[in-house]
Amino acid sequence: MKDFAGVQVNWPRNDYSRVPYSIYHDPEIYALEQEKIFRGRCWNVLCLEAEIPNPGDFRVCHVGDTPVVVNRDDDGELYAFVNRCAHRGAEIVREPWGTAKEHTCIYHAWLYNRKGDLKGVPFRRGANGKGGMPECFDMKNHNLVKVRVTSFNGVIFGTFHHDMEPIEDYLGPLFTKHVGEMFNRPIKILGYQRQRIAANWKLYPENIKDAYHGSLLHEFNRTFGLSRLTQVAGGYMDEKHRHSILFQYKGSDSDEEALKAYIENGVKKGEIAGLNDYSMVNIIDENPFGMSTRVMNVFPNCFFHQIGNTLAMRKIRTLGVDGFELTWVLYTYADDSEEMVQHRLNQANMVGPAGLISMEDGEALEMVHRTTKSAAEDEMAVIEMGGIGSIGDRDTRVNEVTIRGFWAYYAQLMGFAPEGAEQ
Amino acid sequence: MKDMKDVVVARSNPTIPAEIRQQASELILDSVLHLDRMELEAWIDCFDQTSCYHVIPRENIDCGYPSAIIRCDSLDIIKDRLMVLDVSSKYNPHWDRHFLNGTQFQSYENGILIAHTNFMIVQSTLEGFSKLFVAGHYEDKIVFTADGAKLRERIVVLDTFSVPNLIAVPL
Ligand code: FES
Ligand SMILES: [Fe+2]
Repeated sequence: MKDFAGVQVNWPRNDYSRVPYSIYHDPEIYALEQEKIFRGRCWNVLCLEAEIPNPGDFRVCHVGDTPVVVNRDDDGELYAFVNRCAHRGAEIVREPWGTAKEHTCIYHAWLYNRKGDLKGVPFRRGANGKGGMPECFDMKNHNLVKVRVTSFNGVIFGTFHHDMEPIEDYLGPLFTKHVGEMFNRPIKILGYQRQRIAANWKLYPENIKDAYHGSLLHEFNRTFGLSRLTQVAGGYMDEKHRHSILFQYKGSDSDEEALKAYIENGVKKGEIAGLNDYSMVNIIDENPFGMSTRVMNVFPNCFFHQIGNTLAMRKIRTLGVDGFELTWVLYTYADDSEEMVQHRLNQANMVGPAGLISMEDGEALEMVHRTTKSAAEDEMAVIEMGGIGSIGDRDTRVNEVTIRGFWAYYAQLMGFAPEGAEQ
Repeated sequence: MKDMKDVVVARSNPTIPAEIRQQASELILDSVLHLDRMELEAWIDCFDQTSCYHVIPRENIDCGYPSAIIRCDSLDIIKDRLMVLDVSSKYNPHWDRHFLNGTQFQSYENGILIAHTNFMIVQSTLEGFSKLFVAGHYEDKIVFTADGAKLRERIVVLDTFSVPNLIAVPL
C-alpha cells in the first residue's frame, strides 16, 4: 500500500479563499485523488443510456484514469467493469464503442461475459495431458473488477463503492430537480465534441463554478446578452457544497444598462456588434424555470449544460497531473421537431472546443496551469468575489463562492481539510 | 482501421478535364494559404454565395451522429464566425501551416466537382515551438463561376477529434 500520510496542503484560511497553486501540480496529490475521489466515495458519470441503446452495445468510459467498459446485457440491464484483464492486465475492449456478445482478451484469449465474469480460459486443462492451470484455479475468483452502475433518468453513473448512497441522495433535491428536468423524456444523441486541455483537471470544475468570468472572458456572452453580470442570476449548491448550478435570465437587463456597467468597470470594448444571422442567439423558451442558461457540476467528473437551446452532458477524464480530456455529449429530445433539432445543431456553434462562448476556457485553463507551475509554495489564488467566510448560495454572477464550495468538499474527501474548516 | 466512408476511386479521374482539375487544385491550395496568412477576407472569397462550411469529428460520422464542431450553413454565418473571432474570441496566439497531399477528384457532374484532400496543420507558438495540431481531410464541392472556381461546400472531417485545446481560426 502506498502511504499518502505525507500529502499535506497548506490552507492558510479555513474558508478556502486561498488555494495554493501547488495543488494543481503535485503528483502525490494527483495519485491520492485517483484513490479518494475517482475510485473513492463518489458517483462518477460514465455515459448516457442513449449511447448504448441495444443489448450488447458497449462504450469505454473513464473514471479518472481508469478505463471502464459500460455495456447492456440481453435483459436490458447495464453492467460495467474495469477494462483490465484478470490474467495479466491487458486491455480487453480495444475499440471505444461497438456491440459485442462477449469480450475476449486478445493476449491469451480469456473470455468474459458482459457482466465481467470470467467464462473461458483456453487450455485450462493443458494439452496432451501436460501443462494447464492448477487444480485449485477457480474461474469464479478471477472476474473483472466490477463497477456498480445506476441510471438516473438515462444518465449512467458508476462507483467502485458498492455501498454508495442512492444517486438521488447523492444529487440532493436541487440537482435531482434540475438534472431530472433536463432528462425528463427520451433523448437522441446529436454527437460528441472533445478537447484535450493541458491543465490540471481541477481547473475545470473551478471554471464551471466560476460565475464571475462568464461575460468577462467570453465577450460573445455579454455582447449578445446571453450572460451578463448585470442579469438576474445565481450560483447555488447542494447542502454539501460539492455540486453547483450557475443560472441566469436573459433579458433581465437591457443592452444600454449592461454597456454602461461594463464601461464603468473599464472592460467595455466598442459598441455592441451585430450579426448577419441572429438564429444562433435566438433562444426558444423551453426551460420551465425560465432560465436562459444553467450550467451544473455534479462532483467530481460530471457537468450538464443548457445554454439557450443547446443541451449537453460533459465529462472529464484525467490524463495525468498536466491534462484532461473534456467530452461534450450533445443531445436533443426524441420528440423534438426537425426544426428544433436543426436549431440545436446550429446553437452547438456556441459550445465545445470551437464554441463561440467556450473556446476561451481551454485557453484560460492552460494559461493558469502553465504559469502556476513555477509558483512558490506560498503563492495562492485569491477567491473572495461574493464574500469570504461561510459558504452558501448567492443571487448574483459576481460570485466565486461556489468555487470555495468545491474545495471544501474536495479537501474533506482527500482528508486534508484544515482545522475548523468551512464545509 | 478501415475508413467506413472510403469509396474506391482512382487517384486522379482522367475523365475530368485537366483544366477543371487544375483550377480546383489552385483554389484548394489558395484557401489554405489564406488561412496560414490570416487573410480571412480572402479565405471567404474562396466560397460562393450559397456555401456552407462544417468541421465534423470523424467519430460522429462513424456513429451516425449529426453534430459538428463548427457548423456554418450559409455565407452569412461563416462571416459572423470570423467577425466574432475578430472582435471577441480569445485564443492561443499562434501560427498555422497547412500541409496538403494531392487531391482526389471523385466526380464532376452538372458543373459540380467533388474533391477530397488530406491535410495536416502544424501549429507554432510565438516562442517558436511547433507541433502537429490536427489531421483530417476536406470534402469539397467546387463550382465554376465567372469569377473562377469557388467552394460551394467544405466539410472538414477531423481525425484529431480530441482537439488539442481549441479551434479558433478555421481549419
Ligand atoms: S492478459 Fe488477457 S488473456 Fe492474458
Ligand atoms: Fe467559461
